[in-house]
Amino acid sequence: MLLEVRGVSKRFGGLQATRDVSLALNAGEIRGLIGPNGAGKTTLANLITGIYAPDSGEIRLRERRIDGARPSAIAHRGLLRTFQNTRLFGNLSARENLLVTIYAWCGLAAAARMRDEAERRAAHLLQLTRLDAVAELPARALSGGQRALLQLASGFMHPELALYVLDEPFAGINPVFVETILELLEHHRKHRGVAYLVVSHEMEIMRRICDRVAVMIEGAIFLEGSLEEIVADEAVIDAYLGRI
Amino acid sequence: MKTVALGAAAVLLLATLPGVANPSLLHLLTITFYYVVLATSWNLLAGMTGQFSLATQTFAAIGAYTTGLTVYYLHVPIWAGILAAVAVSLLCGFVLGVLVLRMRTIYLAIATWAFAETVHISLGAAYNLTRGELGLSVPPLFGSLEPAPYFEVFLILAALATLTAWSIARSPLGSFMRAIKDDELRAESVGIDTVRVKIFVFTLTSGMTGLAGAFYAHYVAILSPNIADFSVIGTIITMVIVGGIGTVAAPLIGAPIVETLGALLSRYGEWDLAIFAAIVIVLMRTSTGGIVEAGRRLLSRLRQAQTT
Repeated sequence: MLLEVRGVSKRFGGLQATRDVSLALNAGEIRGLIGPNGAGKTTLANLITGIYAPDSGEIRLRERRIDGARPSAIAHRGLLRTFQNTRLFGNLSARENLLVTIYAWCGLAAAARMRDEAERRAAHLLQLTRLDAVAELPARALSGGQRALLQLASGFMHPELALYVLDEPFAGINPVFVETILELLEHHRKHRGVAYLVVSHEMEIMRRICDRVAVMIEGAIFLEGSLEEIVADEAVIDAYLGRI
Repeated sequence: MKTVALGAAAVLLLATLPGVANPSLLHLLTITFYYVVLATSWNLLAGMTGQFSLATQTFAAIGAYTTGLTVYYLHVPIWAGILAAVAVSLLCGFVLGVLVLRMRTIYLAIATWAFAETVHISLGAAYNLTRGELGLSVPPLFGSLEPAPYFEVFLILAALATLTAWSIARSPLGSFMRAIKDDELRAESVGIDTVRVKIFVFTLTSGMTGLAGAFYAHYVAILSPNIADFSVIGTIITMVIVGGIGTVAAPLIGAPIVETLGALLSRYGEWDLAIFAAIVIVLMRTSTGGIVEAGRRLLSRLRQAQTT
């Protein structure tokens, strides 16, 4: 088992953001996470990636506890994430934004040794994402779509990426970029066995890529299954899909 | 490599200056080099890492008083006093770094300001120990106060500080620092140990400043709490902003301009501070990148004009 979330709860003041959430992912799996706004999807992503520590429950990555660990320590073990509102290092060039991931992984002592490898990987990803023309521009000068692509690509720089949590990776993205994103995801799943937990409202894309989908409603996992099973569920339609 | 060679040539050229320049110019440049170290230190911390500290001058004072007091009371040799100064500044920088770790922006500024003023006031209040405003007499490094040898020492210190900043800026550590400045949460999320980086930068810059402060003590010979005066950090910030915050060259450009201007304006009392404030406001409104940015823009425009 790659990721095991067991009975995780998190409360913010009077709001129970997640309640008793359990979730398990295998290597190379693409799991969708859907649900209405405010259902706790982003909170779950924040719990898994160490931005919050859960009030109760445990989270394991390859059998080792990661709940309560700092995000940098979790990232080090191969669990990365993207943010819904694209976050990049705006004053670093697109290329530097990629390099930082690998240097953070190997540490400053090994950075000099990793340099050629890092540059090679960055050049490859820049080419794949067609960002090579803007590689030396500061990230803040890029377009929204380019920024989203760069944010996603920066995770693939991690040499031991095992699980990539993607928070709304397709929201507001030009369809041309969406295809590039999907190619990237599939490439790294096939060749490195990277697993994905994808939070998204884009049902068509989810249907194409997800092996299974989990539905979150009011902080809890309500149902899990293939998207076909889920859209057939009356309660889900009532709670979520019917409202669209 | 080209930059290092150019820098080395500039340092060698400057090193010959005591042969031709008069003592008052040498003194002005010595103080300028002292400020280059302080400004470089603040620039690494605030300009590159985004940790807006207001306590840089305090670490100069910690270094200065550590060597001053140990030499005065314990009669240790000057070099031992300076070593102690570096050790104490590093330690204080480390401790302050740990204490303010979770603070950002204005909270960090306020906390470091409180620390700075506490030390400043304590230095004056503990006059039994420090002789307060009367001044602690510190033996000069070279026996006399003739500026020429001090000029060389501070030239080396400024060069070393600049070289340090330059190497850091080009290294992965420099990327980590700028990443933390841009977005600390994302820096953590991609795996940067932001705690370690921030504490390291706090410690390093404090040691660097403490070293400069220690040498400064053995140059001014009478040490007063003025060294930790709040106006010093104002001067440092002005220098970095005039030069171009976050760029390695900023202190090299800003320090001579501000020091020279200060010297020219000194006969009019404290007006220099008001004028610096005005300059900073104008720069913040027009070119936040300072002279470095303005120069870059001019260069690219010239290049464009050439190609068309």
